[in-house]
Amino acid sequence: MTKPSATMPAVMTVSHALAGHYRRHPLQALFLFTGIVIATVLLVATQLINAQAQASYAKGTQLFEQNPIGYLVAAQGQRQFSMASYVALRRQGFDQLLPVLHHNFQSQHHGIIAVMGIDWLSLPATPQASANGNSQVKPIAPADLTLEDFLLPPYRLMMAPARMTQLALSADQTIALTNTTSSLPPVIPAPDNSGVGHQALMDLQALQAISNRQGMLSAIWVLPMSEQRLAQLQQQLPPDLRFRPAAEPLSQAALAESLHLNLAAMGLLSFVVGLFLAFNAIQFSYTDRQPLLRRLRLSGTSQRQLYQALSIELLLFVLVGSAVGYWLGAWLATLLLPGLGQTLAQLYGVYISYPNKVIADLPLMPLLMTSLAALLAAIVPMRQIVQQPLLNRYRQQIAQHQARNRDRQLLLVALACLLVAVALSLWANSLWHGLACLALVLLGGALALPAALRASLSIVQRLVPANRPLLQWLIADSRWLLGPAAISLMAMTLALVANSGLNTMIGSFRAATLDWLEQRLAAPIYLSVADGQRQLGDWLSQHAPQVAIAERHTLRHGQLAHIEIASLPPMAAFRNSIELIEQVADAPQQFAQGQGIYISERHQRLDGGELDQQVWLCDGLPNVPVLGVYHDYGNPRSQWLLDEKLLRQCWPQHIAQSTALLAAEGAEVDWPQVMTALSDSGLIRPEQIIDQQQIKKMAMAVFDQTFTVTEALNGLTLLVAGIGIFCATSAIHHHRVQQQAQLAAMGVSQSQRLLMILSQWSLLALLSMIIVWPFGTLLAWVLASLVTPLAFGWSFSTELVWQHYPVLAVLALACVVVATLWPSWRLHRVSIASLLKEVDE
Amino acid sequence: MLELETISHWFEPTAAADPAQRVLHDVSLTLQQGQSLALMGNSGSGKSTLLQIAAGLEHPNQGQVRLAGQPLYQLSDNQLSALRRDKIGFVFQQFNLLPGLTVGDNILFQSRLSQQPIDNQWLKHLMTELAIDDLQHRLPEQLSGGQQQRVAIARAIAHKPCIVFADEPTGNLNDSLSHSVMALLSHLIKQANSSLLMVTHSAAMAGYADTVLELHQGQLTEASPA
Repeated sequence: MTKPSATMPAVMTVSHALAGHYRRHPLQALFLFTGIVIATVLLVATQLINAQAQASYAKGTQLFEQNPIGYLVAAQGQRQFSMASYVALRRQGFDQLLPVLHHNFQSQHHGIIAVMGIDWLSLPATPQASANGNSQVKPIAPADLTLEDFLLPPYRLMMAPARMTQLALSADQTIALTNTTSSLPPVIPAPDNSGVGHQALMDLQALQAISNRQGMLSAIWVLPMSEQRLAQLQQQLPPDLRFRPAAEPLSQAALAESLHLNLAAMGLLSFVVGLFLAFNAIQFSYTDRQPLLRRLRLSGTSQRQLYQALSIELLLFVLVGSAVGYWLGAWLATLLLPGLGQTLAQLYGVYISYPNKVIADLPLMPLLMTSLAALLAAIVPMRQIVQQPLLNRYRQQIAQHQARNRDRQLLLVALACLLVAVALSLWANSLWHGLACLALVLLGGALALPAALRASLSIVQRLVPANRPLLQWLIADSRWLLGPAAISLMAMTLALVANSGLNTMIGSFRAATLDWLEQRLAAPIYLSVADGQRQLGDWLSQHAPQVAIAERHTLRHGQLAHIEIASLPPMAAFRNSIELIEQVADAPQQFAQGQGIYISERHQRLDGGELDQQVWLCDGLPNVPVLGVYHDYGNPRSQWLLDEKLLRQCWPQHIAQSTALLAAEGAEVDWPQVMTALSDSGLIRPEQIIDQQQIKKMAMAVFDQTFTVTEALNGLTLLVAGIGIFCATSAIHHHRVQQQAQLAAMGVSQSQRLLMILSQWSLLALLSMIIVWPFGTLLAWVLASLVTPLAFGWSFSTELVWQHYPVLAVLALACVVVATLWPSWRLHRVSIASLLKEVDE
Repeated sequence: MLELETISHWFEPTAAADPAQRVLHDVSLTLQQGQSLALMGNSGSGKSTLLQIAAGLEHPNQGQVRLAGQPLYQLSDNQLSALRRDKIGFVFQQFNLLPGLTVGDNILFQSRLSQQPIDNQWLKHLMTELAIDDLQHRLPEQLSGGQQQRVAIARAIAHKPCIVFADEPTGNLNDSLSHSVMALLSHLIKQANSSLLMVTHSAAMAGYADTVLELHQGQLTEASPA
């Protein structure tokens, strides 16, 4: 055995000789480095945004480092209540209370703006702190602003800088609103400790005025106080309020678990795509150094020394690549966080904070994953190169033979993946099963690609007439190209299949939601009337008897906090608007008589609700059966639907959040005239009137924004695949020289050669569609029928749109042409003489 | 057929302080139809560069090359490519067959490219003479070195070019194989009435040509065949 002191310099000598290759071909080092960086970036980014969200849940709702210990909310589950109760509590000396009002505005140019109104004076850290020099309270705004700036017109809207970037807002800009001449106050960036996330902050009274909810609150935050004082507070609560402890963090985390799991899956997908690229780059760097390694072996270098030197080299790449990838991932996470925050807010009503910079404590996890994966990726090519035969003969045959063998083996693995995926799809009962099925379909598609391409190229080759020599060569050479290009094409296929599946799923979901909205919005007009329904009813019966009025109640079940209770007005139009997925016999009749309830699909799928199951609604009422199951798209909570009379039996005091107006049976209504008369009566302000189209528009805007982060990650994955093709084309450069020289010598012009190189890649991209199309569709089916129902409790049928398929082909072509243009241009520009010289090398 | 007029060529220095490396200095030569010429010289003497310039593969710094009366370096890339397709055949040391195509497709590649009618009788004769007629459906990777070079020769003269350029055509073969390949090459070129400009470092191989010239310090000198 060689002594370590003697071995190390020998290994270093071998390393030095191996590194010489990168001095001659620095691009190859760059490609390997790029593969590792890319594999790390998106994985780190998704991990960090998930970690940030989890940290936010763990801290709970927080504002300027103030955590509420609980909330005072409306006793009957309403979304708002009168501020008079707060004033009464303050008068009793309870000063650790923070009144808040939530409101979502539809802005003209920046989508939906979520705003929280707070009483600045009740906040322990106030804007005036910097002005009065009180060291006990922390300043929360720039020193040039005073308390008056927050409390007096034009007021200030405090927003997280990341959210400002997302909405393309600059400091001091005002936000114009739709359906009103009002606008939101000038925007100022929130400091990092504010905890401000998706919701912007402004003065409570100013928000009440702009939102036309004067004197109303959504909740009162109970800030830290002694147990004794808290007990006193609970004893003296007015009847319209109840105390809800701040137990939300856990439920928030549980609520959004599915979304985070999906995000982590997207991160892993990008990681796998990146690994494909790293593997490709490793293989190229080893293949190019075959002669060098052979010479080293002939000079007496042992296999062990070669393994050591190559491992040191790989480790260096992994360390530097992961560090850069980690840094870029953290930067990307900061950019993507508001997208996730938006999705969380719109999908779950959960708000997370947006720090100005996202940094996790330990970069160890991604580093370990990258190192392990790079090592796994390098094992096979490293073994092949180190153990290659010392004689140069039959090198080409061996390479071709190895490529064919590899494709066959990959096809077998792909088939195994698909078999397991089929089994999982039959027995899946958790989101993990769904995601595993998804991963197996994705991986199966990518692994089946080389064999599918090889087979289809053979068929195409048979169809080419003998008198088309260039076409003949193009097809024959494409089969050769498949050897070195297969991995990058597999990475592109992964990205395209994911893209196709996701787009089809989102399209299908969108169509289902739109249909569902058409059906569910039974009334043409909705009024956001918190009180005064009686006056409104009186006015309508006098002035517009042809208009029927319906109350809409939504509340939280007192004991079963995860259940939302909604009412269905006792009218045929509303009853017909509910399409049941499953029902018992005579369900509509029983429901109308208040003899049972309907449950949402989510409750059935995720909480185990069943037809005929007896449920408890409230004390004093016998249990009632579940009569039917209905779709409730977009609702992150399980819902029970009750006939209005049944709801009244349990919650007689509940005040409806909104009112719907519809034509009485058989009557015709001139809606614009009724609305004008109603506005003129002074009972309703124009901004309280929302028509059906407006609701649909807002709902679809929310829907479209919900997938922002997923689509951004999807786009980035495709970009990563494009980079992979670019790296592969550039790395294959040396291997293409011989072919190019021969063609040029035989009279194939420069422009013909450029066209042929681009055509080859385009042909491979187009042929990849034989995998991308079916697997994309399959993936969409898995997402729509397996993953989404298991994650969110919503099911919908997969709708295939034929235009999607040519678009995918064009996307693949564009990706390939853009990625190969420069390397192809570089190759075709080289003079034939220098091509011949490279051949001689 | 081929005229080289006062060709000078030099390589640009790699460092600013280095002088330019002159490889050819006022070289002129003429090659008639059906004539063969071997260029000899030490390694680095510039003989391959001269062949590449003569074949229109590398632009000389000075001088003019005419092939079949056409000034090569005044032609566009498309015109030059068409000329190579129709009138030139190449044989390289590295065999240079197109790996994805069968032997038959490789041999016919240039004829099909130039859209010339294929002379089947000539082709059959070629393949019999080169003893490759039973290899037509094989791929290049399934052939030995000698077989590959014989296929390369068939490809170079299948379309009966005006001139064949051969750069060390037997450089990768052993002595006995080199002689048999070279004898076949010169014999078939005569039959095709093509000219041959060959670069070789072997005096024995040069002996198959009608004329042998030696390149020394960038200039041509007469040399007697061995």
